[in-house]
Amino acid sequence: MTTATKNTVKSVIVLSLISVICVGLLAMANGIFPKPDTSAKLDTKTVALLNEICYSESYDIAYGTYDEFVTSFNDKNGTNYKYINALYRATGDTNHGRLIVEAVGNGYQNGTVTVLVAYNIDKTIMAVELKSYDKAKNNYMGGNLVSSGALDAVFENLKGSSGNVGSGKDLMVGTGATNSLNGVANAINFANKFIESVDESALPPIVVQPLESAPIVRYAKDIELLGGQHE
Amino acid sequence: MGEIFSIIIAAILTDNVVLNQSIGICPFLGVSKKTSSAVGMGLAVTFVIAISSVVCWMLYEFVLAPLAIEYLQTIIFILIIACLVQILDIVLKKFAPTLYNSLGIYLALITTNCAVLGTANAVITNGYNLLYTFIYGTSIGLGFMMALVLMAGIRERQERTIIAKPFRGFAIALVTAGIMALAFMGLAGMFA
Amino acid sequence: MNNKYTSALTGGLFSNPVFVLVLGTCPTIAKSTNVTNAVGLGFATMFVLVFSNLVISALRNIIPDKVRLPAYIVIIATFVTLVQMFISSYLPALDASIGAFIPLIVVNCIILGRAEAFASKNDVVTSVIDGLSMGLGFVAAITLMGATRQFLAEVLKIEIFAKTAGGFIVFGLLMALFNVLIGIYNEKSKAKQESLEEKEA
Repeated sequence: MTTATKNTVKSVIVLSLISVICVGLLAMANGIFPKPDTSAKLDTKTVALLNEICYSESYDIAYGTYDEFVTSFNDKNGTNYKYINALYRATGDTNHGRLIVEAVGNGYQNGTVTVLVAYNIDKTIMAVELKSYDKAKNNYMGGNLVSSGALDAVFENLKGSSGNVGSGKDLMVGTGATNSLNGVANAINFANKFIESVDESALPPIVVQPLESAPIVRYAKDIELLGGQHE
Repeated sequence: MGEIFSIIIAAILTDNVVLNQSIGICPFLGVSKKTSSAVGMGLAVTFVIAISSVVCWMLYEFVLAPLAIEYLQTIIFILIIACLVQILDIVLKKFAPTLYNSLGIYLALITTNCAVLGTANAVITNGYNLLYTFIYGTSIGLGFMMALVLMAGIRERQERTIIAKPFRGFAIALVTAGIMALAFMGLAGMFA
Repeated sequence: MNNKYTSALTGGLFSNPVFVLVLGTCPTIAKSTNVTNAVGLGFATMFVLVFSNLVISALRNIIPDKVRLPAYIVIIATFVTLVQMFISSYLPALDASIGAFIPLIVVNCIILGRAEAFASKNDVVTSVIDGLSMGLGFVAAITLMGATRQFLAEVLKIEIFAKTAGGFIVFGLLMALFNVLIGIYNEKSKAKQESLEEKEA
């Protein structure tokens, strides 16, 4: 073998070795580090938002992030940045049995957006609330839309509607703002699609559980907002 | 069609990679001294961004995601970019030697241009399909080129003026870039 | 021996990667909007810098010259991915604010620049010292930017400084200031040198 060939072979071997070791290290690390938890939770913030759009004394999670109904819907219809997080249910006396969908949508300029959409019995929209949006992408939401109340006007317009809400631009018509809400529109449309597929009679029963044994994730009993009461 | 248009306008004007997202600044400061080299650099970068976003997108969709090895995204993407720049190096040396010479070391530095890797990551985060990826990548590159050429024009003029000693070199370039970015902010509310 | 370590140690100040060498400008401008982001990104970068300097220096005689850039890139990217995993698992708040810029650490000119200029030519201990010094220099620079911008934007309520345009301007002004200070220091040490030489003469 000439020196040149020997050198090339050595180069290839060293590079491959380094790559293999690095990839192996990363594979190990991937197994060790816990995955960030993006599942649905009935934490204080979520309950506060649910209270705003569909007031009830308590809620539970009818279908959570990892429930088969949700994951199979996401697998069939969702993408990496468009999926359903959970289906909440109002279990208190007020609005008993109403369903609220938590949907995530992505927009071309405004990153990922999470919305909560509450539905009437006839599956028209009762109310919409913004849960979170991706602040890391310099999106227009951070600026004016939320603080100026334009977003609230948009959500007000959606009450009682059903079916496709059009694109982000269509949502903004009549509010005087010129930004698009593609992420929000995508999320709401996706929620609408999801709620169509939900068969209310097939939902898991609302279970009233004694205070001590209710698992924290499925019952909002110990959220101080509700004063620790439950029925 | 409207969405394509808004992607293009956003990438070039309202969400410009240098002036808004503030990525791709090293070459922006380094190569913007002459307009002629700025155009060449801009075209080279546009080419690299467009092709690399497409290739990286395909690798993500067809290899990384199905095999659930998304954690290799950074390594794979940057290696692809390095390869592409190497290929561009060879091609330019053979077919456009004047451009090759004017770019000099900055051609190799395209690999470390944040805009290239940043755009490749962005198309994954935004969930674009293949067509939008290509359009977005090309537009980002064109936006970079536009900012670069504008900057070069201004700096060519600055060469002939007297500048206070502490500001000579990059400091004045940065302040200039800031003022340019200010001007572009006025375009923010124009299109959605 | 002593001089080598001292010069590596003070490199972060006199050859400050951001204000003197003008490397790593992208994260400096983009994520110096407030102190938390600046410190977070700064230390993430420093971590990668120190460890990649260490590994590259340790392997400097094994990696053939032809493939040194790809090899450096793989090593640096590995550490960046480790940092990414750590932050997304344990620091979700930081991930939400600077998450997009963590993968860009791999193309931070400081890291590749130091690997090429220093770690590939010096022993492990000196390289680690250089990594720490440059890393801290970077942290200091980006935090200074962050503090300035946050002060201007939140206390003085001049909102432009929270945006990119303001970032450019603050960076330029701070760089000019740094030049002035280093200039004064250089003149003082030159004067000291000359007076020492006069004494000897």
